[in-house]
Amino acid sequence: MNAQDKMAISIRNAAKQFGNFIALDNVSLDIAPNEFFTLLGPSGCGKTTLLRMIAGFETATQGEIFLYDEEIEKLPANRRSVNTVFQQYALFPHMTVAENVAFGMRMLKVPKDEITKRTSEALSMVQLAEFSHRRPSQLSGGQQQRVALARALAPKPKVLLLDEPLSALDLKLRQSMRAELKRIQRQTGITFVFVTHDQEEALTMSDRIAVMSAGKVQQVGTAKDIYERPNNIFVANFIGETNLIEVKIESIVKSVANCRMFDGSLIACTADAIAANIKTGKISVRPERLKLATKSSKGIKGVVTQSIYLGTDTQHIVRLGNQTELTIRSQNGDGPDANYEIGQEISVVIDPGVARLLTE
Amino acid sequence: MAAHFNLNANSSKPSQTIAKDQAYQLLPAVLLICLFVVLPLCLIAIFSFLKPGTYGGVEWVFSAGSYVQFLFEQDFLTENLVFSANYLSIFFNSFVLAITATVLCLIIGFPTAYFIATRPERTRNIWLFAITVPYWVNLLIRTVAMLFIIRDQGPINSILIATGLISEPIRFAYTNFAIGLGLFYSYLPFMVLPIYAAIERLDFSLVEAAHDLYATRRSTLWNIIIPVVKPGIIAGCLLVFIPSLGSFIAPDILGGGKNLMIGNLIALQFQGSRNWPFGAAVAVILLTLVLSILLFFAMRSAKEARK
Amino acid sequence: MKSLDIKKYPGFRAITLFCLFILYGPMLVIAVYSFNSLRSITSWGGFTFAWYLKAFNNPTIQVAALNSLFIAVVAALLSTMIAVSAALALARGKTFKGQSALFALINLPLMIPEIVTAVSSLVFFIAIGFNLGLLTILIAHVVFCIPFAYLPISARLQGIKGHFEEAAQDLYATRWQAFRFILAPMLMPGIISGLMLSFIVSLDDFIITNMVAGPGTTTLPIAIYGMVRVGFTPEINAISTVLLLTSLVFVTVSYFLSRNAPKNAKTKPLQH
Repeated sequence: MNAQDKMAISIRNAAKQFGNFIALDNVSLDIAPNEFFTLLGPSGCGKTTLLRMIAGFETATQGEIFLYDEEIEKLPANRRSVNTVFQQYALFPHMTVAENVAFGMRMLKVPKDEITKRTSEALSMVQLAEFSHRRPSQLSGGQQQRVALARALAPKPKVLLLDEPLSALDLKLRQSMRAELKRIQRQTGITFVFVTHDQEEALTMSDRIAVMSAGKVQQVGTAKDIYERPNNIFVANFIGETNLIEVKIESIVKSVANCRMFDGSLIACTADAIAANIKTGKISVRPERLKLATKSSKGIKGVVTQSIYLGTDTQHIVRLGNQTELTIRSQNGDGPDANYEIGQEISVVIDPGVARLLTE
Repeated sequence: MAAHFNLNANSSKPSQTIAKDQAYQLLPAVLLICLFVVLPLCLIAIFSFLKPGTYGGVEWVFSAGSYVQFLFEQDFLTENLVFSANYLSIFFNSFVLAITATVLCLIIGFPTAYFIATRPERTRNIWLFAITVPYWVNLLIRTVAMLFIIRDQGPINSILIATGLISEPIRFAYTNFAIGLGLFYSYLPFMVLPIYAAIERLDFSLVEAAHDLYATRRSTLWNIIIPVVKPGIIAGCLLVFIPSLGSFIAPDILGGGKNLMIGNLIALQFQGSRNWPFGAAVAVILLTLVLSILLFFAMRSAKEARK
Repeated sequence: MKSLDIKKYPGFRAITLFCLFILYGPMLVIAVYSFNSLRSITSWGGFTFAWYLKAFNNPTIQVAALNSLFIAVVAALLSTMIAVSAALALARGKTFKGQSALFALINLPLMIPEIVTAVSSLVFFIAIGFNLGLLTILIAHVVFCIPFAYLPISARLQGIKGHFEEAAQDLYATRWQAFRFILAPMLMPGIISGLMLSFIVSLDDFIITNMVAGPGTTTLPIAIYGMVRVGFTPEINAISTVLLLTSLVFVTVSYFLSRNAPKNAKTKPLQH
């Protein structure tokens, strides 16, 4: 089957400039059919610009966008088989819920009975069938959200774009909507391109994630990829929490680097994400991968400056000899030694293969 | 006004030049206003430097005579130019009347605006609406109604005579008093609205703080409320003063054509005495005055906004 | 007893009522006398519609009323269309260089003393060889009604927050369809408000109309002005009252339309 190489969306060297501001810097991405793909990044990273470019609301300064191999960059928004769920929903206030959902099909000149049929289908998919005659203003935020989703799905677009659709909802609602979105995506088999700044949202919902920053794609991969094998310091910092320790690189052999720490000790770390000729870098270790041990044990020496009980975990902050502070999180109930006093001198143990060598 | 204009950018950064479709959308309005407002104003400015035609109209000969005529008149015997305050006094009279109307409007308008702004939200809009409506009602008819009431045979004089308080009607109509009253009555809503807007935005915890610090109502009004809402007061005064200065209807109807204001002086040159260049010159002077007053206050408020 | 409410100032209510009395008193007096069967000011001879009938049967007033109505309707329609178009570009489109200058230009007719606009229009029409009459009145009215129509429309547009046109275009609507089906219905209260305000501004205008009307063309304000010059008649009261009521009705409708604007223009989630 050649659907394998036919990408739902293919972006080639897209760039966008607003005056002197570079919103997108030479971005290339492939999004596979039926994929739940997330653009994740802090505000101003270019993710919304990229989404609006796919939708047709922004023109690219350069580059091409393909929708199932069809060049769509020059097409106006209304001629792209792509629908958007807007951040503030943009439901038409003078139309009922059903009229809102039917609007896209009406514009596509779908026959009347089919519009009716597909409208009620779309509304029952989002569990709002009984609200079809209400006005958007008579619905709660979560309900409006689902109308926006039904409206965008009803014309059966090839790709659905979602622009931070959950950000206006409160926490509880947001969590249940995540599951609902995921269910609908599987049920309809439509490719979702989801924009968010919320890493938890991205990690829980996406098949693949593109982490963006400063107009560039920093890394593309599954949730596990980007959490466990971040490409650079930005990704390591942005996804979850991490500890960074400066090191000198002694040698790199087959993606394993031998690095010297500030206290003179050597550590082996994975180095698949850096260039060969680099002399210094930082090693990144997640807080839950670090271990604390008594002063006499082998490891980096430090002093506990904070100990916070967090329920399932206890978090310790340890200051090392070079003033670097490390965060170490250990599960409670593992053993009697989970608690260290403030001011206590201890050793921090980095197990082999846990540390990852990164550069900016 | 332009400074408060809310630019509704559609989420993208301001694009530098006007988009093609926006230009087309603006074209009719811009074209009409340029053609039928800006161009005529230019024409008036040109006409003010021409010689009057014998039977009205203009002769296409350059002359600053109209502006000279504004300040001087030719002595009949010696043909020398002698300073004449005739027209200046009309300007002076207009300023006095406009200032009187502005002060009256402020005295009545400020307490009204304050009262309305401190009403509960539900009734506030009704009060405000009641103040606004007269603005939209035909100014000519409102002025005629005023004349109807204050004329010699009008209800006020009739009642006063009938009650025996006076035997002869008091002459209200066709006096400067009548014009001032008319201006006050015409533009009162203009004073109330901006002051109202300013007071409505006033943070009343300031008033509470002043009282807490032993201020009386009077000293709170003078030291706290009035300074804070000053921009609204200035706006209100401008909105009354400027149309009053160039007013035509009130002096024409209530002044009976005897007590001239600038507006009547201009109109006369295009109707009765037919000296277009002179009328044009007076119009240019009035326009310059008005625009410089507006510009002065616009720059002042811009300066204060920067602080 | 002095009120303890520190917001209250004694006497302010009285002044407000006095203010309303001044504003409405003369209009009320005119309206009342228009129904007095006696010509007398001091005595009430009973209620009558006679002056209205007399006014309506006056051929000068009939012609003037028709002229006024025709001009006001056409001027309101044209100026509102122009204002909608301009407001879409200025209040809804992307920001651009010179935007505030264009905004000022559109509001220019409001800033110039009316008498100056009046004489400059007169001079201009004569200079380009237009015959003064209905057409010149109409042109002048269309132009100075633009800012009055523009205000409620742009206010309404600014109240419409959200990417509605984009949403429509995203759902396969062309630019025209997005306006026709989405923005125009949402904008309608503003448009109607603009129509009404420009209608009464046109209907009421005297100064400019009087200048550019030329001999023989009358509108209601010109007719009233002419009649007042001769002397007060109850007929004037009657026709004035009709005009007063027209303005009142139109302003009230327009007010209620614009007051309800923000409520249905928003579709923000309830949590906000």
